Amino acid sequence: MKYEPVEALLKSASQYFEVFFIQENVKSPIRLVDTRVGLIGFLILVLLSITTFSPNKLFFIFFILLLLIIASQIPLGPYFRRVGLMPLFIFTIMLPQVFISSLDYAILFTFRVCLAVSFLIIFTLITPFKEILSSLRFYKIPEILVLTLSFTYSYTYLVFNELYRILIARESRRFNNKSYRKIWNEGGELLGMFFIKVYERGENIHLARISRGYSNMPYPVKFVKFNLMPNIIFMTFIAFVTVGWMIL
Amino acid sequence: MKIIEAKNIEYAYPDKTMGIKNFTLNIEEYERVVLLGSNGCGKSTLLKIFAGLIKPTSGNIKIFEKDITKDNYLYFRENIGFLFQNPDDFLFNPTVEDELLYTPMQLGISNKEAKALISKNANYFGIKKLYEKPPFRLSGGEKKRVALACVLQLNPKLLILDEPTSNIDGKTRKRILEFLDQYRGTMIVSTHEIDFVRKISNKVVLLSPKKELLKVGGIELLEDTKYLEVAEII
Repeated sequence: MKYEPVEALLKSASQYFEVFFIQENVKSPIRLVDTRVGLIGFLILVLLSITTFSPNKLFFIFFILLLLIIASQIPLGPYFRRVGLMPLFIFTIMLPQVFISSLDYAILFTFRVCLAVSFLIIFTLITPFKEILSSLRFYKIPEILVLTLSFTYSYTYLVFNELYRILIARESRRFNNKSYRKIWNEGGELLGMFFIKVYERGENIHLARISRGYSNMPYPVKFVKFNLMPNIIFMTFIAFVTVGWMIL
Repeated sequence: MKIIEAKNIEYAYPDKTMGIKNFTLNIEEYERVVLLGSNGCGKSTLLKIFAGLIKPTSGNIKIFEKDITKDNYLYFRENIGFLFQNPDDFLFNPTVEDELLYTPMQLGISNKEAKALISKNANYFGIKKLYEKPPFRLSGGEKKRVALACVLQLNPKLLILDEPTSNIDGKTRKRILEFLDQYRGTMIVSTHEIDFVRKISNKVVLLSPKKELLKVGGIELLEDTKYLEVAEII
């Protein structure tokens, strides 16, 4: 069937993004580190990844990434599912740079973005999202940014779940093999319907929030009990990585 | 005390489609009211107005003898429990436990107190084992039970349920019926299941397919086939 590759891709994508931010139930040793400390540590690693084009430094950071994957004991399946498409996606965007700059530049750029995103994915895989939001509030990040992140998180599932439901509903009522032109037209209708349905469902969810007392008040989150030793070990590790990065 | 005092209310959607027309109704404290009508007759719209979630485009409505204003917002939220028809619209938190904690947290109840509060309902509806699960991974019946447990967190004086027994299995239906039987506040339920109405209500409000009030009466109204036919219930 002609439509299958496109719709199969859309279906997989919607299922993939539906659970993109959902924390896995991982009993990782890194959870012993306070989320506020962990956030700073992981952000330093992201900064180290994106502020260099030196292959040596990037491979050093890659080695640190591997160490963290092992130490955090995250399930490799969900990790690779989330990171898997990233290199292809970034390299596609960087493709013009192959001709403007060089192939090396495009590859190194892709590599460093993948490293940065990987660190963030490890962090979100092992940390409940509400703790991340509370940490951002703790560091006095402007409320509008935290709220935007919070809504993005809440509505990501909603948006992709709606897309998935539309695709399934279409599939269940299709009987013949249509021309590409027809498929293209229907694709446009699907997109329009998708936006209308998401808008409507978003409105209903907003009413549900109001009916349950929504007042823009942040969750009072209790962080994991602050144990000094894991935090010191983690930050010492980050300090060593930073020094190693500077020496290379 | 009058819980709902609606006088000539109308509601039009932004595209000018009428949701409800010229509707007048009073509901007294402890009444168990069922809105009965065919699909699309305006039941859900009316319930959202009764919950103070949307304002009628014309007419007057008082809830707990208060107008729908910003000053009364918190009072309504603390005293009205509203269950949406589609639990997917109602559940939006990452885990079931977060769902249950949402309302108490929004109302500033401490974490410790909130956890104690949710525990009772969670046990009653048998959802404690689902605490860590994301709501969208639950079955239809489980979602409904979680949503109902969320609504009942603060033991609301007015309970509004939009088709609580749609798309659920017999066991969940029985549990919901048991609960509604024990509930001692004012209740407004929309449904099109006559059997369900007989078990839970003492006042029946029939809506016509024209989105107008057709007839208000006691449970005996269910025996009047003439009205039920006009309302397209049978």
